[in-house]
Amino acid sequence: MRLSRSTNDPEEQRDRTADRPPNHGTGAGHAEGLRPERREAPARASRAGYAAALVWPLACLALYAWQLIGIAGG
Amino acid sequence: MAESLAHVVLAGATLLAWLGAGSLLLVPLGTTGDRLLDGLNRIGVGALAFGLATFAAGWADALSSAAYRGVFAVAAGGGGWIALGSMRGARLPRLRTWRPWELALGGILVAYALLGALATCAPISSPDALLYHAADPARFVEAGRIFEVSWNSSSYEPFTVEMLVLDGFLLWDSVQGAFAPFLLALVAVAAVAGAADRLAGRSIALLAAAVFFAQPLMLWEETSTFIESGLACAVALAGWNLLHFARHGDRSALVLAGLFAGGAAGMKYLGLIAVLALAVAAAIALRRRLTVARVLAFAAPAVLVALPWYVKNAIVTGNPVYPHLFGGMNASAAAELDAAMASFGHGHALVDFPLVPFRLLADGEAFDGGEFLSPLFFAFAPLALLLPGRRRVRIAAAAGIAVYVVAWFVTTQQARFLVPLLPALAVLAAFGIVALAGRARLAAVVTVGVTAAALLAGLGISVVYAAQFAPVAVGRESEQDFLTRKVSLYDGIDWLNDRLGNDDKVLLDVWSLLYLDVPYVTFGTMGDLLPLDAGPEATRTFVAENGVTHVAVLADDGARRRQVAYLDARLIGRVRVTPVRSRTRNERGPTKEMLVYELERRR
Repeated sequence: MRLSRSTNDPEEQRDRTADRPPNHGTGAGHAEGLRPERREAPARASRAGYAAALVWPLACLALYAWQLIGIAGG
Repeated sequence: MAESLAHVVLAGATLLAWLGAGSLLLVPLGTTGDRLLDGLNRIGVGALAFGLATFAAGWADALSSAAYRGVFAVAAGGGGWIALGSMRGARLPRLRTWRPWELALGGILVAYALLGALATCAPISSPDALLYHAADPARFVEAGRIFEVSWNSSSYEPFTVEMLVLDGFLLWDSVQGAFAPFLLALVAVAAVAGAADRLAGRSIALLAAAVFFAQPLMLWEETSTFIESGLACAVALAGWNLLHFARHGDRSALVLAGLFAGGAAGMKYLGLIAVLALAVAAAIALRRRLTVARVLAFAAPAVLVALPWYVKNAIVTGNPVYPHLFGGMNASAAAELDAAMASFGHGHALVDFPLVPFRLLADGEAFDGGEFLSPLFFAFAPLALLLPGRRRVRIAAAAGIAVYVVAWFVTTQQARFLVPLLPALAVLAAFGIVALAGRARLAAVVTVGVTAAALLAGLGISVVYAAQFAPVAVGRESEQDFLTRKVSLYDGIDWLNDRLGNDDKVLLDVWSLLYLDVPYVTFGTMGDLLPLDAGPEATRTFVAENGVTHVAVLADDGARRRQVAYLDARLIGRVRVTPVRSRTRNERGPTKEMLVYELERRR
């Protein structure tokens, strides 16, 4: 599960560049250069990750609310 | 009301005194070029210096209110002068440029600071503070010196924060002492905001500060004369200085990080775990820049600042980390301590580990105050660790957090012992919130909704908590009534204060000791001095060696009553006392009876 975001922070961009493999500018190994069925896998993973990232905070809040209701109810 | 305002004014002067002392001590290191970091470094180093100076003065039998007030006035004057100089040319935040939600976060932070000041103005009523965090400093001030408190193993923990509490006693009274942890929490939140601001700007800074500070756990922590707000302060400042070193290569920042890491280790054994976690994270994040000289620049000041506490323990007990690792307590006390430490949480088995977040969220009471912990740490900090980019930093943060959480899990699972980790988690949570909110409209709705709901629920709980202290803080309730309501078995303490004098010495197993004016000794918090199964000879020897004239025990404490029967003692009082099960929730137990005996040979 990975989240993507845009950033205007130059240092952040430098960092992200540094984390990529040396051949990142060639397209080799990137989703764009893969066959359609192989390109869909990371996209599905990304969608699943996004869904999980949405559900997780709601689940945390629900558990917290459950606890508070229990305490308030004695 | 006027008294509370005076306490707040003196608390402000205390910050200036720390600033003045720290500014003097940091002259050789120069400045980092970051005005906020420099200011907080000076305040933090000043606080550590005051703590260690009080420690040294205490062991030199030189504790004196007059001397302390003189030093305090000079340091506060110097700090005031430096603060005025720093404010010249400083740009105040331009609130007109803030977005509405940023203003709301700023408002919540101010509200929490006011709630904290209000609750701190009330007389001390937290059980741990009544037992030793404030009770020990009170005895040290009365004696004019620091001495070994052998009946309470917790008093062997490093005591830097308690020394700052003691300074408050020297300056005025116990309430002034209780302001020390609150002030350290304020410095901690400023450090969290400052570090986050330097990483990613104002929005992240405000979010991180709110996630860390605007929660009932921190309010409870900083207003109960606990130690962990000091640990959070030291860890946050160490972390920010490490960050400054990582970005600018300034070696003085490494020295400062080491000073604060040592400061954490000098506040509580828990600080050692925090320092280990910090060191692991720093070593991973900076591994390509590690040299012997840089490691020494961090480690040497850390050892120097922390060492006095461990040397003291080695001298008085033979175990630098007494009563842990190398033991030293009697068998039954050690077993009771182990059982007490293991009693928090829902279990220590491997299967319990991944369940901890869910149990903290849904059933936090077992973690002693876990219900006060904000859900935002769990909801958003993990998401930040999954963000793209800065891979090494993410790995370093995850490793440091893992080291701390595992150590917390296997030792004692108390929610407030997570506080030293919260500055880092708050910054991560802020990144997680912003990243998810920026993903899509639905994500923004979820993120804003969860964050707002958690902050509002926390604020509501915090207002209810602080409201309990408002009547006494503003003078609408007498101190006596407040203490009777909030302090466990206070009627018994009051009875002993009325009937006994300074020539007496009472042996007791009641723990609200801060307000006991009569000389006393206890059986030991865990039976450290006189185990529950001690026989007639050991009991008589203990009483004779300690010059005990009276014994006060609860009627339902069969083991202690059996030991009283070994003595030639006469029952002189039956006092009805009420235990307080939870002062934060106003829960009182059924009334008990305290039996007071006078030893016959005295008459």
